[in-house]
Amino acid sequence: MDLAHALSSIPAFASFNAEEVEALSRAMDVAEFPDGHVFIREGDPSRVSDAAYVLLDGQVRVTRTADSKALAKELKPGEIFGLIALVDRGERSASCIANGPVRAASLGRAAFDHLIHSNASLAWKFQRVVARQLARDWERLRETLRAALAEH
Amino acid sequence: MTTDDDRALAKVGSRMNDEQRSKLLAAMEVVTLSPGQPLAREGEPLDSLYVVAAGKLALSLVAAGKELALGELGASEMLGELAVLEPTVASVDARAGGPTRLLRLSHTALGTLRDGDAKLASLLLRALIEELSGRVRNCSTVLEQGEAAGKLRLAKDPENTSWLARTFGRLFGTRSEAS
Repeated sequence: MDLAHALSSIPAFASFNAEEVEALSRAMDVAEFPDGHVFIREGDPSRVSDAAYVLLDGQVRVTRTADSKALAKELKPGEIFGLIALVDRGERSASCIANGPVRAASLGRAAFDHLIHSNASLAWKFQRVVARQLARDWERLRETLRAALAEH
Repeated sequence: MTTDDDRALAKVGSRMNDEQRSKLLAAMEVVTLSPGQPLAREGEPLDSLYVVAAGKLALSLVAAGKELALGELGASEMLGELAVLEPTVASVDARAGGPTRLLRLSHTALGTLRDGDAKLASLLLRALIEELSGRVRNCSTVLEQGEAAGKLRLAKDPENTSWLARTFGRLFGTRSEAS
């Protein structure tokens, strides 16, 4: 399956039209990674070499050094990681490590910047994807805190 | 439009030039609240971004039958960053902490703004994302520190309840210290 076709089946990109999916796929590189590969390391500063990834096959573990049960998670095919750091340029807030062999498509910072500066519609839709990811993180934190408060 | 309104855009308009900020202000409507007047109630529909121009918004929620204060939003701070993108329900109660002036951008107004100036809408969205990601990062760190210190496990401890409430408030950008 080619990358554009794979991307178009991912819910996060459902609002992208065929031309936008094609532009996105051209900006990405697909590669295979071994078990234990560290895609992103917690605490690393924002770098020119940063990339976001779309997980195509396999699983990626998201961990933080604090070993927080409330915040640990496992990513499955179709999920995106690393995108928020490309937008806010903050340091990496968690480590993302291959849990078994992984195939993923990467979008480097330069390619990301080019995409969002060259196409306002794509920029808007891409940022909506980021906003939705943040909304999910936000909701998870909120529910964790609310559950803890309900016990108090 | 007042100087307060212009200053209110310090965060949300941080990437915009003067012309873009003026356009954004023109798309927003002024909402004034008297002290104690509610703006949003937990579980009720919310479809707008509210930016505090003057005064403050007090945030709270009811947990285990008790009202907990989460903190206050002051000038240039905002509520509804996600609701303006996709209408949802309010996660907390928000009421005026005194005479308060807000700038409101509805979901519909954002759509119109985007149709007329996609670049401006994109800059606004970028600012909302940066604000949200900063809060999520900050709250995650504080929550992990609290979890490590056992603050989530020690039930019925008023100090921990207060800490949890302040940490919750960080999700909304309040300046309460949650250390």
